[in-house]
Order: sequence, then structure tokens, then C-alpha cells
Amino acid sequence: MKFILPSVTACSSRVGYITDIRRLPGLVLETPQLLLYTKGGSIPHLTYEVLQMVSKEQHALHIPISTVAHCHEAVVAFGKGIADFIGLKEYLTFCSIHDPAAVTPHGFNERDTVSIWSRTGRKQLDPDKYMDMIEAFQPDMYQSLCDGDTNPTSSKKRVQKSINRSIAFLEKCLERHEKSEVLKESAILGAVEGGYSIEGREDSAKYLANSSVFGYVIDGLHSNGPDVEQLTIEDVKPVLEASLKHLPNDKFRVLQGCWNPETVLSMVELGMDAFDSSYVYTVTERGGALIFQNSIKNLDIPSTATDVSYGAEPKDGSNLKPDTSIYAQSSYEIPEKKKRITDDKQVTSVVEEDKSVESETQGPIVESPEDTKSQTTSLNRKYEISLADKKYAEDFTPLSRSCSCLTCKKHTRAYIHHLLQTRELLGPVLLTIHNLHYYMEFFKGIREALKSNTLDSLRKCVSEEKDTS
Amino acid sequence: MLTPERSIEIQNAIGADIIMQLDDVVRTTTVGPRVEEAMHRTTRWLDRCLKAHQNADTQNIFPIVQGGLNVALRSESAKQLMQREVPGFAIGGLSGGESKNDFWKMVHLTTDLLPEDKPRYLMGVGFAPDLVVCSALGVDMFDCVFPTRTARFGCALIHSGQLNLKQKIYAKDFQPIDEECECSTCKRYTRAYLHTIVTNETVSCHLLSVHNISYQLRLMKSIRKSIEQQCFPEFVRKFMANMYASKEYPQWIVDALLAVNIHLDLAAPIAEK
Repeated sequence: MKFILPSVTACSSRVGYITDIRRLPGLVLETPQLLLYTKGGSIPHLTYEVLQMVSKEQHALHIPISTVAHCHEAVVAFGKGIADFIGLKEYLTFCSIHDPAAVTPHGFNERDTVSIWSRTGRKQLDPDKYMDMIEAFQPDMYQSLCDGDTNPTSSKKRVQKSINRSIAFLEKCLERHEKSEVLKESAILGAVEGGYSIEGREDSAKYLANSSVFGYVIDGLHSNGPDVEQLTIEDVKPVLEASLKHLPNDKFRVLQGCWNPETVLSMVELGMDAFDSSYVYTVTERGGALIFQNSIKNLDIPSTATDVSYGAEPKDGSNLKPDTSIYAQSSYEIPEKKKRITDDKQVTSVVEEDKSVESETQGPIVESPEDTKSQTTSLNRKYEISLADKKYAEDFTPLSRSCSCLTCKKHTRAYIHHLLQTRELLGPVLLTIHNLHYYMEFFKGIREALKSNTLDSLRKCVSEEKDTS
Repeated sequence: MLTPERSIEIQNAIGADIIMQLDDVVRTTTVGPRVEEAMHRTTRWLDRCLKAHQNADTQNIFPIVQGGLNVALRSESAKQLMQREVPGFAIGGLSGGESKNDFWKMVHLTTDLLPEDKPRYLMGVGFAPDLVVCSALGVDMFDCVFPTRTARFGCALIHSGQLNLKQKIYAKDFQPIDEECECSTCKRYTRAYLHTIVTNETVSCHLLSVHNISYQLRLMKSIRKSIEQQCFPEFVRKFMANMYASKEYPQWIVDALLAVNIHLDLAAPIAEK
């Protein structure tokens, strides 16, 4: 596998491509690239068939080990690696450790182990156990085991531990990697740690610069989960720059997490090569549809519908459903999103909760769920519209007028709203088709803007305040 | 509360090619005067629906035969509905909690009474053996939530019944659901992988729904083909032998098929693939 940067420019951002993967001859992935987030080995809500309706192009899959750890035994017996096991062998596979869409609890790593939360509960992985899984899964690319349990408030001690342990883990993983027959064609990435300490970041990066890894994940900036959307570039710029300063320019850099579009753009500017699409998943799960300006091209298409009637009263009250569903309340603010895990150290094992999947697969339609998935803050209202809002009940325009995805070509906001109201599985499917397509187009826009030196114009478009009414 | 007029008004707005009258349907286990009341009311409501129907040119309205499990009432219902000018007939009030023995007799009675030259639509059926038996009894159309609902619960339909993919026995089963199935699920996904996602990822609902619907459609296609090729009884025998490997056919199936002159092979076992 090779990571190629065709030209060296003065600025830190770059376009490149990944190629020469023996298992997938002819596959060329341009960077900055969007790795497609998967859970349990599938893109949430999309079968292979439906994925083809979103995009027929080549892609890489982002496979968090925590979401497929329960498949380990089966994949060993299968013998042909995770890509084939999940029915997606045409795609490049990248294995990460944690699920970027779910909060990783603090304080569960030890000197020799990292904790992951899998379907069957908390698992403690040391480098050997981790590499056993990697050897079974045979991903095309993967990150070394690392301790990234740091955030802006971490103590010096915690930060130092994360750096030291990650170095120790990398050494052991590299040892296994080099000995392994099945990983001969796979690329291993080292993790830059250091929390929010500039010095720590530089130390970590300096060490990695001397190691024989294919590239790097910039780790330890957050603990995953949808709250990462709230982070802006100002929050992370100093430590990000410190992380990149001592790394060789020509190696591949990945940054994981549900970052929002503007932050992604800024991180591209600083020199990042790949991200995962967990943001698409978190937006979909709360009934959101992305409508931010994702490219420079479509400036002339108006952002609001002009031929729509909002909240038209039905002729008589008899066909109104009582407003029992959470989605019926228009400006719903969650005071505090229900935390799956707390910092309480008594939590030793957690069973993965995904309320939206549980209630959907139980068959009968549930009226008013106790906890909600809807979360709108002033920050994310800007990039998306909330289809659960009853003002869309009779809006017969597409999600986005400038979008050419299947959902926007065939369906209306009113229909999607209806699907969410009745908790039909098709709702999240149509939203994912749109959101994923939209975000893929965003990345195409990023690459084009880099090539034509118009990143500033793209940023202006993306940050434009949309009239989301 | 839904009135016949309101029901038709909504269905006119929805614009379906086939619409249903509003009927008064009682539980199959109900006995007594309520059953007769519902039967008569269904006829009166049919007339109100026909009157309210705005799109007779583009939307076909079907009445629904009622009468519970009572021979006289069901016959009367069919006769009354047949006096109206309609493009097809539905058989309702069955596939609830009644015994299969009562079920098939009512279907058989009703199809004998309804006109030959109009479609007969049996509502709420069903399971594969029921589809085969009722096709033999002269039914033309069916509907059922079963294939997609059971898919969402992790069950895949095959010729010999169902696979409950939640079971651990499939953890290392790297075959597709059905080697001979040409659906998109079977072309790409193994039982083992499906086992890891059923009831956990919505993708499993979609993958199994696609397979189960494909199974049902293939079944109906085979039924039609065997009728056209004049070997329907043979098809039924083979189907039942696959479904009930031990040849312990449910009695109601034996009886129902016998009523239309199809004899199941009770003696020598048919070679299983």
C-alpha cells in the first residue's frame, strides 16, 4: 500500500491518494478521504444494495473493533478476514479501536490494557489480544493499540501515562505486525497522544516520527460520542499543530470522531488526510438532514423553499394525531442528553444500548419513547434541519434542492417527517442515503477546493447561516 | 371513529388501485347474534361505500365476505355481496385465532360460492403452507405481515420452514440463507454474519425482509407455473414433503387438499435433497 502526495505545497493542506493495495488492484482513494463509519460491520441502516444507490465508487470502511469484537471467533473460523465476512470485500478496510459515535468512558485503561465496550460488555485488551483480533480480521489498515483517555482537563500524570503506554503498546503491536504472515500487506498506524499538552504532543510525535508505521492517527483529543460535534477548531488547533509539527509530511494522517463540517474543513487546512463518517450517523439518529452548503458550485440555488405552507391546519381536527411523540414538539431542547455511561467507576460492564434499533426491531410502533434521540443546539441547527419538527408535516419540497441523491429525487420532507412520526425503518434509511451522499459530496468539494485553491470560498459557503425554518 | 364514507374518502385520496370496503369484522371465536349483526352490517356498509366512492373508473373496490365460522351466515354474506356490481371479492374474518380445521372449511365454502371470473383475495394469509393450500382451494390474492415481521425478529424463510438466525448454531455457518435463492441477501451475506447483526442492527431487518419477500414471491411464482404446466398436485406434494420432513402432515392440510382432490404422499418418503 502506498500513500502518494503528488505535489509539495507551501501550505499545510494537501491532496493525495492511497493506492497499490494488492488485495484490491486498481483501487485508488483520493485524500482528504471520508472513511465510511460502520457498526457491527455494516454502515448503519444501509445494506450493500442500498449503499450502491448512494455511491458506486470505491471507498474505505471504518470498522471500530469494539463494534465487531463479538465476531472474533466466527471470523477466525471463517478464515478470510473481516471484509469478506461482512459481505463488503470490495472495500478497503480500516480498523480503529473505539466507536466514534459512542462515548468512551473515562478511567478504565490500565498499565497493560485498554478497555473497549463491546456487545458483550467491557473487554480489556492488551497488545497481544488486540493483535490476535487484528490478525483474524486482516484489515487493510489499522491503528496500533493506544491509550487516548485524555481531554482538556486531564492531569499531567494522565497525559504522561497515555503517551508512555501508547509507546509501549506500539512497540508490541509492531513486533506482532512484523512477524505476522497475514498482515504482510496491511498498514499499521501509530497514535499521537499527549492530551492537551503541547509538550506532550511534541514528545509523542517525535517518537512516532522515528517508527516504521505507515501513518498516524491523531488521538486523545476527545472521548468520542456526539458531543464532539460541539468542538471547534479553536478548541484543538494548538495541540493539533503540535501533533503535526514533528511528523514527516509524507505519511498518512487520520483524525477520528463526529466533528462538524466547519471543524473538518479547518483540520483539512492543517494537514489531515482522512476522517470517519460517524457524524452522518449521529445526525441521522436524531432525525436530522444535512443542508449546509457543501460545495461552491450550487451558490445560486435558494436555500429555503418558496412554495410551501407551514403547519397548515387540517380542515377538521379529526385527523390530527395527538402530540404524544417527542418529534411533535417543534423547538425541543434536551436539557441533558441521557448519558449511556457515567464517570462512576462502579460501572464495570455495560451492555450496548441503541434505543433506536431496539424499538425499531421490536415490530409494533411505539408511541412516546421515554428517552429521546432528538438533540438540537444552536450549533448543529446550522448544518441540518430537524425532520421530526412538525413544521415539515406538509412541506412537499425535497430535503435539499441542490442534492441529487435518491431521497431528494424521489421524496419530500413531509414524507420523511411522516416516517419518523410513525417510527418506520425507512425513515433512517432515507435520511442516511441523503446524509451520507451529502457528506461524500462535501469531501469531493474539499478535494476540488484544495486543487483549485478555493478552500476559503468553500469555508464561507459552509459557515453561512442557513435559514433552517 | 371511522365511517364507511370517511374510509372511502381517505382511500380515494390515497389513490390505490384496489380499495377495501369498511367491514364490521368480529373475532373468529365470537359466537351468538353479534356474528350475524356484523354480517348484515357489512353488507349495508358495502352499499354506503359504493355510494361514497368517487373514483369507480380508476379504483377497484372489493367487498369483504364475513359470517365468522358459521356456514349459513358466511353463505348468506357471500350471496348478498355478490348481488352488487364489484370487480373482485375479499374473504375476511379469518386468520385470527380460529383452528385451522375451521379456517380451511370457511375458505373452501366461500371460494365455492364466489364467481369464477373475479379475483378472490384472502386477507391476512400467510404462512407458506397456508398459501399453497388456499391456492389449491381457489384463492387468487393474499396479503400478510408475516414475512417482514418475522424478518425483523431474525427469522429467515426457507423451503423447510424457518431459520431463527439468533440461534448460536449459526455462529459459524458460512452458507447463505438458501443456496438456491437468488436474492441480493443470499448472493452476498452468510448466516454467520447475519447471526451477528440480527436484532442489533437495522440492516439485518432489511436483509432478511428482502430475502423473505423474495422467498414468498418465488413460492407464488412456482405455484402459478405448476398450475400452468398442469402439475400443480405434484408441486403441492413436493412442497409439503419439504415442509414436513417427517411426513407428519397436519391433519387440516391433508383434509383441505383432499377436498380439492389432491392426495399427499403419506406412504413412501420422497427423497429429500
